[in-house]
Amino acid sequence: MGSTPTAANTALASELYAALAVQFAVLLVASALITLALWLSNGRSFSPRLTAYEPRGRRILRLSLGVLWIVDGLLQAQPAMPSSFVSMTIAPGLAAVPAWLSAVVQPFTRVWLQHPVAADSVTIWIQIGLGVAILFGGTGRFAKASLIGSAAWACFVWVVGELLGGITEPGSSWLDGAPGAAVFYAAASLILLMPWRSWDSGRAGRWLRGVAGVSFCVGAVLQVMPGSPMLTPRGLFSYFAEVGLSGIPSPADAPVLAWANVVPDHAALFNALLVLSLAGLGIALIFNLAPRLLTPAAAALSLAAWWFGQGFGIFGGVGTDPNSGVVVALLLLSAWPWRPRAAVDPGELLDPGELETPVDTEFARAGVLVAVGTAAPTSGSPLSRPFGGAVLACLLVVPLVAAFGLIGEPTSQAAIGASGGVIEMSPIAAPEFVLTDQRGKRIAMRDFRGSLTLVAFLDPECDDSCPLIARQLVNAVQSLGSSASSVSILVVDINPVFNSVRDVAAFTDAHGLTDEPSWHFATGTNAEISNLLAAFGEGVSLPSVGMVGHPQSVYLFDRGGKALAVVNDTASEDLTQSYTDLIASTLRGQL
Amino acid sequence: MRAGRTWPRERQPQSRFRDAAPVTLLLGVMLVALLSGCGSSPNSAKPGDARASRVVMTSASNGYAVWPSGARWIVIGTTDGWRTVVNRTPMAVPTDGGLVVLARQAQLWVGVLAHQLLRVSPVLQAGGAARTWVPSQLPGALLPTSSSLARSAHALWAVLADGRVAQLPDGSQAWSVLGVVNTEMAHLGSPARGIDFADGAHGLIWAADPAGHPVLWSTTNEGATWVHQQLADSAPGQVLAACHVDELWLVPVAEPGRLVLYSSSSPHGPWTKGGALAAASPPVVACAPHSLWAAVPRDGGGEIFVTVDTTGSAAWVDRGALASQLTSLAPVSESEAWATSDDATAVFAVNLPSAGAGKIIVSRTALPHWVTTVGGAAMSN
Repeated sequence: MGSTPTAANTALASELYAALAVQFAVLLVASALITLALWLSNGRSFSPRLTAYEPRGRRILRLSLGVLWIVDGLLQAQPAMPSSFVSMTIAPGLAAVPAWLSAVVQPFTRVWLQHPVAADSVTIWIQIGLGVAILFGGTGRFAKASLIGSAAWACFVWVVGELLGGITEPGSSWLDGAPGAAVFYAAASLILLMPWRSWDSGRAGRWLRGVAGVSFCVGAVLQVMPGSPMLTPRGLFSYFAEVGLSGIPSPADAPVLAWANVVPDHAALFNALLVLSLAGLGIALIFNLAPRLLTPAAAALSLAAWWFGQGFGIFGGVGTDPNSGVVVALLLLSAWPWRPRAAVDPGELLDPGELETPVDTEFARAGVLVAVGTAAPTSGSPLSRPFGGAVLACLLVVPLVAAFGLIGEPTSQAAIGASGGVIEMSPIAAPEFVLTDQRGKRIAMRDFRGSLTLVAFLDPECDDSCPLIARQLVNAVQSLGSSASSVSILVVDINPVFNSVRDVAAFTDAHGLTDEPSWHFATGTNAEISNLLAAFGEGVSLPSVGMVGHPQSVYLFDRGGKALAVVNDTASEDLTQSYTDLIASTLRGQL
Repeated sequence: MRAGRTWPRERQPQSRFRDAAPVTLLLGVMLVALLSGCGSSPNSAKPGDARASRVVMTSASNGYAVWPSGARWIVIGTTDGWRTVVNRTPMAVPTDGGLVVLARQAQLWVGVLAHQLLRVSPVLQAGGAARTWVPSQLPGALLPTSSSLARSAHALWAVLADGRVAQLPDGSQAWSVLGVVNTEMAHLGSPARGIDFADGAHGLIWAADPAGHPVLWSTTNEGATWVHQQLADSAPGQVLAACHVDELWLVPVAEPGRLVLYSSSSPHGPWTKGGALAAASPPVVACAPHSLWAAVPRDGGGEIFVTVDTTGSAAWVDRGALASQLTSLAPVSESEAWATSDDATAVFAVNLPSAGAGKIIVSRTALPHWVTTVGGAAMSN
């Protein structure tokens, strides 16, 4: 794309943080109220703290899952998320997935595009709420419900947010995170639902290793799929170089870049070793062969992939989770054959018969020790404890409050547009200029008086977003039917090298816009274009390699040449229709 | 607590395999895929493919190279035999799809290959050390081979991806598509696949007929007229270059399993089929003033062959083995050449120690680190 890649839409980011601040206040109030209600319903007291022995593997997995959900929630609160989550995280993959999957995902992306702040804040609170509930949810029905909710949400994220982890996309690789982190979250949640005795019997560990093993085998298959870019030295170099340049903090980037330069020389060997390792480890994990030897090996390979193949997953401004490498490693850590803890003081043992919840009963029946702070029997539910109000508020109340933002019409700033939406402007006069269009005709801004005018800045050499934006503008105008003649499109060439009439004419011809009467692709001298950009408060960047970075905003002027609104773009082909609809609806509102 | 219990309780093998039964089918599929993948081992870029590193020299120590850098391609230049390197990538164009470089003395032309929605290839010209580029737009996408740009005395030539040939006369700002020869090629179903001019006036366009046999169009008047000709007794194959070596015109053709040289005393033919050189996959060939060089892929590396006796049928002499498989070769004299391979961090100097049967000496010149990183990460949406 020709614009700054991860530039957050400032307005949307501000809107998000304002919403989060309000929702945090709601969280505090709701926590206090629920805590008070719980205290009253418990006879003006809280139950004593229950300290239960939890199998170490389960504890590692539960804490890991809880922390991961909270990290994911915090990542979702990055400034670029409301504006760029769809365009940078989902849209790039949408073009490559099967039509059925695209059809499933599109309704959710539309909701996000129409209500980016609300959708993002709901996501943030659901994930933080799940994390808090898993960390502090205790035992019993509440904990079970939290884990079921975690599995369900992870499945939703896997389908909608990760597009099945990329496994349906050509060229996806285990190295870059396929089959996706969320599917491991779901698996971890379900395995945490297993009876506690499963951990001491080793059954849960075998399931964890089996999940990791299947993912390794899937990775081996993906790695040798025909057309995988990883099979070529050039593809390997590009992949690792891109990871190394993806924003990993120094000095962690240096080994990746060094590896990018070394591995193409041994591409066949690397691929053979990787595939054999994945297949071998996968089969061994599935069949539970030599777990003490191969579980650490598999975890080490996952961590290596997390560093060298996934760049730790969280950098770049739009990472939504730490990617799958570290998650698989944590799964495998949980699957390690930990020894059960030594017995505690017999005086602290609970009578299993005094336990109320099925989980605790099973847990006690399995012979696992329960140590408590006092002799008073209690369930493991957080609802009888002081922090129960906070857990409930975080998991249920705040996401519901945030979800109210999804109801109703898109607001002015939280409107469609993966990079922003429609922002009303002060009715200032359009800057005056004289440029030359693709037909060689001199045109001035005043020539467009009497019609609604869309003004955009594009690059005739841009190979991704510009042709899409051009088509979106034309489609929006054409959708107005007989009113289309009332709208003009004025696009300004901002490329300082390719700024001749031939260049804008070539773009016009190459993208089938020659016969579009509303289309004007104008160019001028670099000084003229610089002045015009400055008048719009815009600018361009000229990197030493690659396309010009340029604004993607589309300005709308009324018939008198006064500014009405600025519309920010989504440059995804699959989302073209929604953006076209937005521009068309904005235009209709002015006709 | 059942003290002393060890973990995990090992299950019986039959139980283990029974539980694992649901994945057996998956594993079978994966193994089949694995085996099929082993059959399709990682391959190098095909010779002549513009999407591979390539060196182009204008003298023994001056030259340019197209190089992968991050997610993009860049042009680098040297004036001291690659000891120092400068970035000569044209600005304001997307280079993700690859670049084609043509250099003549102080002039440099860079063609930008189509990528994603870039459907018209820009071609930029720079003179010497000048940092300014003169841009132009082809009437379509440039053919992604290293032979898609050529220079005659007074014009720049390009082969488009659709097989048409276009010309940009000096002083003109607009490319024009050739009339007669393109019509003839279209009529014969033989889209152009490369073009080269041995000097200002003599040039060849090569193509392939519908059956895959190479066909040529030659000119001796700088493209004013083109003469269509067949290579007698040819098998289906890919023309790799067109060289004017001493008084002989040589056209190396990669046929299945071998490299065949066709020679003629005139670009208009007739063409004589010469001896074949066994080559399991297409070699890299390059023209030197008095010989033709070929790097034939062998066992992950390559074997350098040089022609001798070019007044006759151009016999091949084996000059030694290379450890890596080359992607380009640029002879600068009868005994020296620069080369590139899949090693993205270095160029190679290839020296023939003396005339005759002396074996090659290869030395590696590392490129600075910025070369592989200045292209940066792909800019995503």
